[in-house]
Amino acid sequence: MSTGDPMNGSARAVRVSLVPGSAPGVLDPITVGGAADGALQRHDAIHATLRPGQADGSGPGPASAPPVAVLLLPLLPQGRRSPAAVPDGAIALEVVVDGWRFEVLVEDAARADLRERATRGRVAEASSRPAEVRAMIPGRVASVAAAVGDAVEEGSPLLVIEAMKMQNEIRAPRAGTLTRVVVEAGRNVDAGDLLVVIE
Amino acid sequence: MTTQFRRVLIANRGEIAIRIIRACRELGIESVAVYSDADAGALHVRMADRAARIGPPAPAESYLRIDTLLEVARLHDCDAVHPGYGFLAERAAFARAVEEAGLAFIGPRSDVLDSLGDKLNARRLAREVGVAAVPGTLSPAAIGDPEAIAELARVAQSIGFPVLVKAAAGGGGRGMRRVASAAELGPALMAASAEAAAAFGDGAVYLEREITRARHIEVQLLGDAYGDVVAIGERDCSIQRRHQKLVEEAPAPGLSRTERLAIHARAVAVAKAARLSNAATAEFLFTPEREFFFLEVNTRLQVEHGITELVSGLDLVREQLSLATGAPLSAAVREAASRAADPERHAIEVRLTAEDPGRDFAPTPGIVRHWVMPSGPGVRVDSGIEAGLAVAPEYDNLIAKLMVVGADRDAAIDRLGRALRETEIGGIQTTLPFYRFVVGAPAFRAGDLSTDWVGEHWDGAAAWRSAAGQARLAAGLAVSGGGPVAAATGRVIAPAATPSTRWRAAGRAAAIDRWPR
Repeated sequence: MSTGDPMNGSARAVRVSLVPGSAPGVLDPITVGGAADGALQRHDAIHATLRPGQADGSGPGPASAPPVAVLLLPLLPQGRRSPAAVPDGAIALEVVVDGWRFEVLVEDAARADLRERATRGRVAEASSRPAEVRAMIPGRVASVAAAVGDAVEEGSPLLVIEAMKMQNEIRAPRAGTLTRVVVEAGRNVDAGDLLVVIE
Repeated sequence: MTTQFRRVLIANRGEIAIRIIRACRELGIESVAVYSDADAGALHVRMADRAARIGPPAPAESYLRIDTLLEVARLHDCDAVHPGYGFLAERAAFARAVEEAGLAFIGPRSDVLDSLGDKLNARRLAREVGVAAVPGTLSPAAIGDPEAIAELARVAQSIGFPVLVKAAAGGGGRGMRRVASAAELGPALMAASAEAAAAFGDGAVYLEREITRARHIEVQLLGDAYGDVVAIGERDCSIQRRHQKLVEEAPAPGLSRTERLAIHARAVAVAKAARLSNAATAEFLFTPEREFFFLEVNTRLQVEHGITELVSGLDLVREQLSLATGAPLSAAVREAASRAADPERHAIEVRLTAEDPGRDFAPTPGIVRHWVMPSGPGVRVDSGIEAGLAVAPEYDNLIAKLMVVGADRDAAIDRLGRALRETEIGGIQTTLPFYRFVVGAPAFRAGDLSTDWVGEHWDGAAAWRSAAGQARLAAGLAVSGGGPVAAATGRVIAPAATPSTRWRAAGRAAAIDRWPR
């Protein structure tokens, strides 16, 4: 399958970020490609990062550093958690690197810059907005440890979801007061379902 | 010569149901699959000769319904029931109901399940035949009585802290607590007992010394209805998380022939004392001081039985089907048992599960979008998954058992590395990256194994972070025109370029919609 169909016909810089909420860790977006990054350099970068041990031109790397296996797939929705927040013009991909699965957004770097400048003012406002806690995994609500009106600290246990014979504790993403508790013990939830709201 | 079964009900799902269907088909026995609503289109349902719906997804309303399963067996005129592993496999009440319905239960008899299912009873049996169990208590601990607990604390002191509180009816780490001092004992007994009562309907708990840096070694047993029991070699299952196995290998590396013979003999002694028939596994801890301590007997086919098959050449399910008719141990079984201490091959299994090894093995149910399993010489994959199938949160998270066999341990590890490299899974996070790490880890290659291995060697968050950097770069290069990504390192299933018009976007969405769900 062809992969060399660059945006607008030439190699352009793109911004790559993890789909918000798709991973436990937070990583800053990176910019890849562009005029300053010639074809040769780009090729080297691939090899340096994706084929450890071979980038310095010393021939095949040691057996302990085999090439990284990369798999690119269309990102499809899972449960009710869909990549709805794909900005116009961006594409959502599933990237599997050596068995690790990531959901990423790729968009034109210039366009991403514009969008970020436009939304920067809203970041401060966002931290005071209500936080919706949603289910990361489908399962059964085993217990609910908090009620409407409770004050919670960041990291306070909120509820337990049982999936695959395991108890998974859901904790408060930030401090605040619980204004809504949408689920009760015994309820089945799907990935992406709203659990509680913290204000 | 006894005649073989005509039609067997398989009271299970997923890969183990398929494993049993395969053995039945090779013997010309008809198979009857059962399914919950979550499994209506599953592979095991399509592969069986017949299939019957047994209820909604929740196991308590489907795969654990003894009455429904017996009704299906009656309706389909089955003459035997295979329980697989998990669900009802070790439930004496199920075996008894099957026996009372006049059908054969393909496993040990119900009275054996009763006797060995009680871990305290199994410990007492071992002591009677002179097999050392893990140091600890032999009767149910008193719960909530301060005087009895004070006495128990003195016993724990003599066993040596830390001790483990374990459930007599337990398994899979449930109803288990680690106790570091006498003060913690009372609350731990209460908590473990409550958990055991909720999970197994039996709150009896006992104490066992915690043995650190031990290896988990188990012996495959086969027995017939005439009291004969033999060992078909041992397996090392030390690499675990939450007391559940991740990697298994046969034979156990680094044992002398004398040690192999000793552990086989002890397993057979306990099994004979319990009058075991059909297939079972005796589990032991092997300490750094090279002592074996008996843990328990699992009265069923184990998840990891396949590696014993790869080393011994036996088909254990076929032998189970024969033994359950009342046949004596077959010539093939006796021959394999005679060679059990002199293995000529080495096999390794890794359990691919729907879990995130970067987040402490948290479950990751969801829809598998892409599924390519390895093949080639010496590779066996037992799985019930295919692309488009959902891994349901209601059931076990095992999605595939990847097994390899080679002339020796080094050859098997090399082959496992090759097979893992061919494995591609998309849609859900699995334990695949953890196994890639294991294969390359010097400690694994050196056979330096213990039940603390994962905690001592695996840094999942760091491995995730490193891969995340590569993932962002690979995605960026693929989209910005870095065609070499695919040529040099990977596969691109989706067209990666931005749809330039809404027509193209709509076309792409339609193409994606045609993917099986």
